[in-house]
Amino acid sequence: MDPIVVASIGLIGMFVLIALHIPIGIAMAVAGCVGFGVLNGFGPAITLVATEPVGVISNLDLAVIPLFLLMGSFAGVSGLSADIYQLAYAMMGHRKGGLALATIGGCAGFGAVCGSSLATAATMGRVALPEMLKRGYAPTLATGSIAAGGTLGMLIPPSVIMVVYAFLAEQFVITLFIAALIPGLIAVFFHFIAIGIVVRIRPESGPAGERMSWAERWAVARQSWGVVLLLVAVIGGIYGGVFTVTEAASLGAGLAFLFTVGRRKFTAESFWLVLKETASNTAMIYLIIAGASVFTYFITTTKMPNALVDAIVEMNLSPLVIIGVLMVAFLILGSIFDTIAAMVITMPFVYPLVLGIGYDPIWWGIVLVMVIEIGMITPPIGMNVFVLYGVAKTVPLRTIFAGIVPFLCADLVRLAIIVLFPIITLWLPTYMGMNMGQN
Amino acid sequence: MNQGSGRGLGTRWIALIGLVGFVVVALATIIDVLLRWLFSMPIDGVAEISRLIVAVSIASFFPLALADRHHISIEFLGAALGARARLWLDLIAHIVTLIFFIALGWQFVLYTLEITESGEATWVLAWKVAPWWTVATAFMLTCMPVQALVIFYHVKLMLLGSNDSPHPLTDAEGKG
Repeated sequence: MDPIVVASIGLIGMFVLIALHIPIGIAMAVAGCVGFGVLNGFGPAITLVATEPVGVISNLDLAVIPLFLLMGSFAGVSGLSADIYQLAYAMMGHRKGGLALATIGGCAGFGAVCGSSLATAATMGRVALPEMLKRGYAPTLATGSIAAGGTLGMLIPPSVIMVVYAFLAEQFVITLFIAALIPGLIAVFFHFIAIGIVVRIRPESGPAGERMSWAERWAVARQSWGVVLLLVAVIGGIYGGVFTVTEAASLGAGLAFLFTVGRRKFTAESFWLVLKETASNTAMIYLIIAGASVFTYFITTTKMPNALVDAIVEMNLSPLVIIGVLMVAFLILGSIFDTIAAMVITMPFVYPLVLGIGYDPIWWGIVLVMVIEIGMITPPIGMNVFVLYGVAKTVPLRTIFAGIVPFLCADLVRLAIIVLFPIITLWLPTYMGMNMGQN
Repeated sequence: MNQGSGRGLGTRWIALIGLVGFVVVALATIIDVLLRWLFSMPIDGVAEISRLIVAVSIASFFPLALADRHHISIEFLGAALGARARLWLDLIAHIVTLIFFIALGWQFVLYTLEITESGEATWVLAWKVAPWWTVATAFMLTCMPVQALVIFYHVKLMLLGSNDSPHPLTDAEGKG
């Protein structure tokens, strides 16, 4: 049978399995294994079920995922998320919409010690939402800022999804982390602008808080030394070239654990919670990576991605048009699928295509993360919105979606800028002499 | 629901081994960095030992994730077709998951036998690799009874129309 036909059937089969509620990692592995078996015999195919997962679970680069998850879980139970929020509030709370600004700042900070959008949205939802509602904030602005701010968790390094991308695309994760810095800061800035516009149009939606004196701010900053130390150690260590990503993740997990113990938050209950979160999320991510490895191996052997690239290149479409179409497709995918799932399912086809039309793999990694992240707040699904809905309970879903709109507009403008000007993403890693995209 | 079965499987305790493994990897990495900085004396073979510990640790997390039914899956079809259809689809998914883990466990056994026979060892410290993969394989094999129990509880839910808990395995353990 023609390999391209087998690849097409394999792809359809994978989606059928996914529709049948089968875990996405397993659906990918089964489709990849059967497809490879049809082409090369089922003996070699079944060995793929061992070789790819063995390679994945013994990969030291991927080991940063559980370490970052561990750091995020300990940071959550030790109350560091509340510290970040308080610190951001002390600096910005006196402005109109100041609590929403603080929420975005808190999300960016917690995203830097957590690496997950859903965890950031859920954690900041518990910390910031009651505070904003208590102080008379409009529920739309309160929930919108948290759901949108939560997406910063995956864009601000360290980011779990970037580790997965780096592994699948065979790129250096540290280069991705460095490339994400400026787009991450732009994201924060654009969210600030969105809040500014909202409170200018409807001042009552985000009343200003009391201005803290510098002595009070200093007192809050001193209370928050733990989270500042963690951020400086992990982010500063990575960006300063002091640590490798694995070393930074190890140090971060160790420090977050010490804070949990030091703050007397290390109870049996919190320990089992951390264990359960870390173990379950790690296994879930590894399963999907292992499945993606099997499926990618199969698809690559069929040479379908090459045929796809050739066919699209022959159409003589502008690369920007192709990227535009991909953006729309990913916005839809990101609103339906889990972030990592949306990325790994499309990786075998889209990655060669983007490289084939001349784009840089590091730039694409950042754009991909951004567009999937935007998908997480895009109706009708928007995972972050549902997570926040679960936390907020009293706020109707349509209120949260209404609150998202200004942030969604800001995100789309930001995405357009990053797509049109790749230099924004690539300048810093190039300037720092990082290993750039390997085609 | 039989709480004892959940406890007996002890997926939490298996995962605890993995967590300890990661703490060891984190500590070893930090100590390695410090020694490299302060005395220009890195620990030999940290990376290769870490790789072995990581493999065992990751494998130890799977039984808990299965018991917890913690997966990334899309459940639109079940939501569209109604509660009964959703239960059937979930049953199919659980059975395919069991078949997958049987295949995975079988292949891990073959791989472990292969490296045991070849006497594969790490480069720097010449530690035998096989014992580590034996433990990792044992954890992978544990996934089979865990997933079989998940199916058992699911079928029970379908037949009786109710269940003690949506996640009987981990909930039972959680009460410990």
